[in-house]
Amino acid sequence: MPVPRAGLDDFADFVAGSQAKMIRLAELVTGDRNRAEDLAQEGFARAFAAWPRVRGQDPAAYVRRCIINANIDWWRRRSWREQPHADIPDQPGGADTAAALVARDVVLRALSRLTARERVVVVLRFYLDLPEAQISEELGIARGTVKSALARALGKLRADAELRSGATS
Amino acid sequence: MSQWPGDQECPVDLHYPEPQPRQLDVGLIVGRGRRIRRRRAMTRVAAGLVACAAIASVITGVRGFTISFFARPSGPAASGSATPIDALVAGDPPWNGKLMLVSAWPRHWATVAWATRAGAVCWAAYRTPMLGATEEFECPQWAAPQVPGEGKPALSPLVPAIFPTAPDGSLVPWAGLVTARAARVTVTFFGREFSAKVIPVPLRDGQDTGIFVVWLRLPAGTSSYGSNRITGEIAYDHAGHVVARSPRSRS
Repeated sequence: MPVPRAGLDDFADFVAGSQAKMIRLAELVTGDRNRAEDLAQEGFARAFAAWPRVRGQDPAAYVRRCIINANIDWWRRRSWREQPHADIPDQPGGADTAAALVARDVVLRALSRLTARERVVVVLRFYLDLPEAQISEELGIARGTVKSALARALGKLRADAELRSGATS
Repeated sequence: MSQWPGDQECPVDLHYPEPQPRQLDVGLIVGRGRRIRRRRAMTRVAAGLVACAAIASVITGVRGFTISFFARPSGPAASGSATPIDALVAGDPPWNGKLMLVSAWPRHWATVAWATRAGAVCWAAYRTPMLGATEEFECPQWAAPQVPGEGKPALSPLVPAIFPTAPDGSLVPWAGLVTARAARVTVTFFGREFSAKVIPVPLRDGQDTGIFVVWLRLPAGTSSYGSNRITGEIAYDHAGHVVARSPRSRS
C-alpha cells in the first residue's frame, strides 16, 4: 500500500522529532556511534515500510524494537548501503565538544561492562523513562527479569571504579 | 556527581550533551523503506510458492532442486510460466529463470539462491509464511569477482543475516559461496563447529559455483555477534579432502 503524501509528511515529522533520541538509544545499546546511526536509519526505514499500520499505534516503540533487535554486527550492510554525501555536516568544535566527548566515553565504557540485556534495560528505564511493565512488554521478558536485570546493572554501575573516581574527583 | 544516588537512580547520566549532532537523511530512509515494503509484498507471494517447493523437497529428501519461476530465454513453453514473483527479483533476475532451494531447515524456513546475468549471486532466507521483518534478502550479495571460480578465491566472504531468526531468535543463517568441487563446509562459531551441505548454483558461463547456508546457534545470553566469532571455515569434497579453507581457519 503506497504511503500518501500526508503520510509522508507525518513520517518526516516523526523522524525529525525522534531521530536524536533513537540515535542516542542505539548508541547507548551498541556503544558505537556509526553503527548507531545505521541502526536508527534502518529502524526508521522499517517503520516507513509499515507506516500505514504503525502510524496509528506507537511508531517510536516500533523503531525502538528494530534498533534493539538489530544490535548485531553491521559491517556487512554498510558495505552495500553506505552512500556518499555531497556535503559533510559541520562539526562543532571547542572545549564544549571535548567535554561532551569525554562524558559520552565514560558512559559508554560503563555500559559496555554490563551484559547486553542489562544495558538495554538500563537504557529503556533511565534514558527513555519507560516503566518496568512496558520494558517487560517490549523486550518480551518477565517483569521480574526486568527488575533483577536492573538491580544487577545498577549494582555494577555503582561499583564501577571509573565512575567512582569520576564522581569523587 | 559527588554522591551516589538512591536505589532507583542511575549512576551514569545517559542524557549527556550531544557532542556531534547528526541529521539522518529522510530521503534515504524513505527509499530504503519503499524497497523493504515492495520486497515484503512480493516475498509474501514468493513464500507461498517456495513453501510448497520446500515441503516437496522434504518429502522427497531432495535439496538443491530448482524452482522455475521465470520464463527461460529459450526453454519449452511449459516452463515459461510468468508469475507475480517475477517482480521479486526484477532488478537482478536469475539468468536461467530458476531459483535454487538451498535449505528447507529449520522448520518453516526456506533459503533460495540464484545467479544473475551479471554473474553475481543472490540469496533469500525467509519464514514461510512471512512474519514481520524477519526475512533476509540480498541481491546482489556476491558480485561476480567474489564468486568462486577459476583464478578467484575458493571461498567468498561469509555473510550473516541481519536479524537472529528462527525459531527463538537464537539461530542465524550465514551464507557463503565455495568452489563447486566442495560438497560440505564446516564453520566454527563461538568455538562450536557447524556443518552445511554445498548446493551447486549454475552460472551463466556454464560453470557452477557452490552455495551453502549454515544456521549458526548463538550461545545462550548472546545478543550480538560478528564475523570475528567465526574462527574456522573449511570446505571438503565428497571424499572428505579439504578443498578450501578461509585464512582465519587454523591449519
